[in-house]
Amino acid sequence: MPADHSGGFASLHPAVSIGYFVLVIGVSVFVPHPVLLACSVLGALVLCLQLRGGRSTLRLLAGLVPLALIAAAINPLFNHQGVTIIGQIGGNPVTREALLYGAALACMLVAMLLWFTCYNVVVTTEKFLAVFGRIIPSLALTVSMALRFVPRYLRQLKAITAAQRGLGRNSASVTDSPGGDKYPWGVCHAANLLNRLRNSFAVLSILTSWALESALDTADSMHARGYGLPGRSAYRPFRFTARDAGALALILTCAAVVIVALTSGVVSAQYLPSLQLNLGAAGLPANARNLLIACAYGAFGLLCLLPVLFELQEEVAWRISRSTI
Amino acid sequence: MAYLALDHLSFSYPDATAPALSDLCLDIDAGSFVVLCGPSGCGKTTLLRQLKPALAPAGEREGQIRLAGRLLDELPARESASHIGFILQDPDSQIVTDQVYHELAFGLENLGVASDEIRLRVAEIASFFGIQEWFGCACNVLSGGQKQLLNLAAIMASRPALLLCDEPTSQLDPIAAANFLTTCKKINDEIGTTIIVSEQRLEEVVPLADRVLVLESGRLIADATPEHIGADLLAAHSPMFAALPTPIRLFSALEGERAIGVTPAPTTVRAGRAYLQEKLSSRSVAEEAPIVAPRELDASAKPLLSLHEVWFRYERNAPDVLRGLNLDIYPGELTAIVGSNATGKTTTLNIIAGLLKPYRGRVKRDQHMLVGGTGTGGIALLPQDPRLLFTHKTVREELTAMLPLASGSATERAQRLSDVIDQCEITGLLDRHPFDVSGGEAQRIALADVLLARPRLLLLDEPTKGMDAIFKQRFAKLLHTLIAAEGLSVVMVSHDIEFCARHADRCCLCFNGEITASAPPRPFFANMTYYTTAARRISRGLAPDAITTSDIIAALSPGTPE
Amino acid sequence: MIAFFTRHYYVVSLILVALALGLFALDFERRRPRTRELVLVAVLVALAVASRAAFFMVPQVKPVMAVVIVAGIALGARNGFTIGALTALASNFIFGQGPWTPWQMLAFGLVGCLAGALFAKNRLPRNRWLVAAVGGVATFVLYGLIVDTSSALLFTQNLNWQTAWPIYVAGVPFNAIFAASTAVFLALFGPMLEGALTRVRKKYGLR
Repeated sequence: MPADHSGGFASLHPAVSIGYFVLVIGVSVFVPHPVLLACSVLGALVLCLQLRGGRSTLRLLAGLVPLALIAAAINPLFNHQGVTIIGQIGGNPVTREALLYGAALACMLVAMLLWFTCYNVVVTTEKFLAVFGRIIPSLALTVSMALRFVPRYLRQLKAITAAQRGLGRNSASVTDSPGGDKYPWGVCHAANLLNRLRNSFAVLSILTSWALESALDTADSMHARGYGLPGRSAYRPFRFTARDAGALALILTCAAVVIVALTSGVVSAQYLPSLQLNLGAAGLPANARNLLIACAYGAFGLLCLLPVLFELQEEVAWRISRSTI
Repeated sequence: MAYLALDHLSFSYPDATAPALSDLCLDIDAGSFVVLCGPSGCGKTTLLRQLKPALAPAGEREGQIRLAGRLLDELPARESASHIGFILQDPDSQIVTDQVYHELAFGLENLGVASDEIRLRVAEIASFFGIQEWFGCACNVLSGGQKQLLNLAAIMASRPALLLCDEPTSQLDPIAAANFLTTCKKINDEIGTTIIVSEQRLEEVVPLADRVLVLESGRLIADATPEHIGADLLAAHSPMFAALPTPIRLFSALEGERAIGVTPAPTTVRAGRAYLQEKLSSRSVAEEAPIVAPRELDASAKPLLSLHEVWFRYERNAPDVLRGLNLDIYPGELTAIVGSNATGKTTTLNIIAGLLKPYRGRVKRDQHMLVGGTGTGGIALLPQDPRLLFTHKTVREELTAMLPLASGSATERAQRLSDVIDQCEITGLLDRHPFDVSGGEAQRIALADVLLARPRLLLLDEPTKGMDAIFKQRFAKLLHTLIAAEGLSVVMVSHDIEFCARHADRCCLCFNGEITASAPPRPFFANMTYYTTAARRISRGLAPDAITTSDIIAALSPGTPE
Repeated sequence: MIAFFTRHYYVVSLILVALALGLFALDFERRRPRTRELVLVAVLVALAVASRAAFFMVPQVKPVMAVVIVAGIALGARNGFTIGALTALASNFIFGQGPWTPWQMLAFGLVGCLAGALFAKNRLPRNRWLVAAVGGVATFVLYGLIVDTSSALLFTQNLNWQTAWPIYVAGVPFNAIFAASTAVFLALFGPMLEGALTRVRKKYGLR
């Protein structure tokens, strides 16, 4: 099960992995720079392959690519800014810049959705709640309780439906009963629909009453175990280890370089009205600018491939440890 | 000085005519294991909740409760939360979070225990309770027994000195229930925690206890060790005597008043066998003892419904749940399907009800007998949890809404309604909300609901779960009345082999998706050594064919039934 | 310096959404809700999420917003927001988190909040049809606007009508179905749900 993935990158402290995803997704979504987007798509795609396997990733891409194509097409169709006109559709100009911007948006969409796919594998619900339980304890507990209730309610919904059918309060019993033939088909059908609606009403109302009543027990159980006393602490199921500190330091260093390059405008992208890359901070000498650009590309590239490297490192370490046994 | 002292404790709910607890005086020593029993509504829950200030219901209280010399009311909230643990009936609804580890940590978080200390305590509690295997699981995947064990472990993590359990095993199957109670005993023995357990099913718990308290209508009517409780209850002519474990009942019935306060009664099957053996050596057993003859089953009767080589699985790739199951249901009989968990009992019931369809095999229903001339009837299934049925705001509306399913004219239907209300003894509940009544009452309302449709075949899923011993007898009587008066046939699925042995006409053992044996209860249970009634286990090889206490008594002293 | 991010509309709007959600979170934590209130909120969130999951086969026809609206009416504007926002968050734990999560949280939260603000304390009569109508309109306008704006922000460089209108137009049928089904569910189940809530709140001792 991919959902149980727990090695390599996923074994980092959840605060580190959540921070990582926020950073990478943020940069990918906010900065439509072609080089950065390429790194981002590549990193997310390889990670996705590692975490979810080839088949599942292919299925994901099969859904993603058409979506990306639509996103790429929409922009030049409705956005007529841009200086280089390359054609006309329906009397409106299509510009090269708008086309490129559409392509960048499509890459951004793909990168973002791929990263979120990886996020959903790495940052499981309990990791999310463990991190936020320290910041917003009541809300995190509420979500945790709600998530426990949902599968119970769905199970109960099934049980209620079965119980109602067992009692003869089901739509089938109307048509099956000997009196059923008396009605022409249309009436029977309408009666059936009405009956079905009435039944789903009954089922929902039972579920609601039951859910609210049994929650009374939950509240009692919480109260009995001292919920609401002042000075509540938060259990940290995940330990912050030296490995986490190292990973965090690496992430922050890369992030710092990228952010300096972005905020100074040394690395930037503008598509409309004309395509202009890396134009900011014109006052800097060319060498310094080029160095910063190279560093920023390298740093973001490393950042995007970081989880992949973690996974690879674990795989190699595992093989070595196996072979030395 | 006693650890827990109740001094003339009385309690009344607001707007109640009679007090729920009246004038209880009680001293409980530290480290004792106390069983609290009594019929439904006798005040067990009320009493237990009085001992846990956070759960005490609103109402008027008189008298005092002292814990370790201090008034309970003056106990700071933090101490009361950590020192007094409370387990509720339903294993599912008292779990708060969605992960096992978090549930174990929850109480400690509330008490403000530091994270490293929580880690230690969670680790030791998980080891003590042996829950490492499912430590990393989500709470939703656990079985009922595991859930209740998790609740116990989560409470023990805050190291309470007093543990209160309110019918903790009523929702569990016998194996999970025994496991839970043994764990309680282990806590009591190894940690020294004082434990008060209220229970309906006394067979397993009484032998573990030091002391048995019996409440009736809010009064303490008996307070003795397990060895002497039988004689006390017999002398008090309490109906609760019927709920006591088989060895105690056997002993008290045989020894009578002589035994009061003198000879200790056997509480376990082993002690019961020893006692019976000794009894027999002093007396000649009538080999030809006239055993109450079982109702003759009509061998030529045509089955009402038969399952022939039925195979079933829930999903295409899932394993088979039923593997060539054969079963005949005869009209006018109470058929009991027994067997342990996950053997296909409930699935069989659902197939009989027509809720599930087998993928191979035949289900033959005798339409003539099932539907009859009235056009209604058929098959009705009463689910385990009666609350799955209630859709209306009052019991009266609930029942009235079922009326269109009953046959006949308006007056006939009204007559039917009042008959059913009488039969199920729910006259006093008609204006209540169906969710505000007790478990046993809800069961009766659900039964009334089902009976209104005048089914010919009534299917019951674990009907005796959570019923007290007294109501169980009334329930059995009601079933037999319905069978005799209305020609109803009943199929019940149950773990309650004592009930089935006494009241069923035919018992079927379900194992591994098949019916392995099917016979009237006497040959059925007399033929088994492990999966059989306590009376059979006590009398095996000593009294032929005895499967109930009254059988043994009859075998010992011809002519004097219980 | 933020001007160098060419997509500053998206940045700013996300920051605003995060701020709004953060403020409501702070408000909820500061109030220190009582145990039973907390449990009630959790139950309603779970009911809403379960209703989204139970009708999984039919896209857009889901009673989830109806549950949020009734919850807002019964428990007031602040709880309405919390229940709405947590419903979006919790259901995405099941269906997958994505860039839509914060926007959905805001949208569901605001609809729940609005329902509470309009109907709580009997400001407007709790007539079945009125609730259904208001709920439907609120879903269409508020929820639709917020969710479509999030897509528009994602897909255009600078939010302007000329480039964004196709996105809004494409959203109309989805929003219309969602709003209509919400109105139908409100008309059908609203009073029942409200009745059950009122009963249990009385039993819980919650005002």
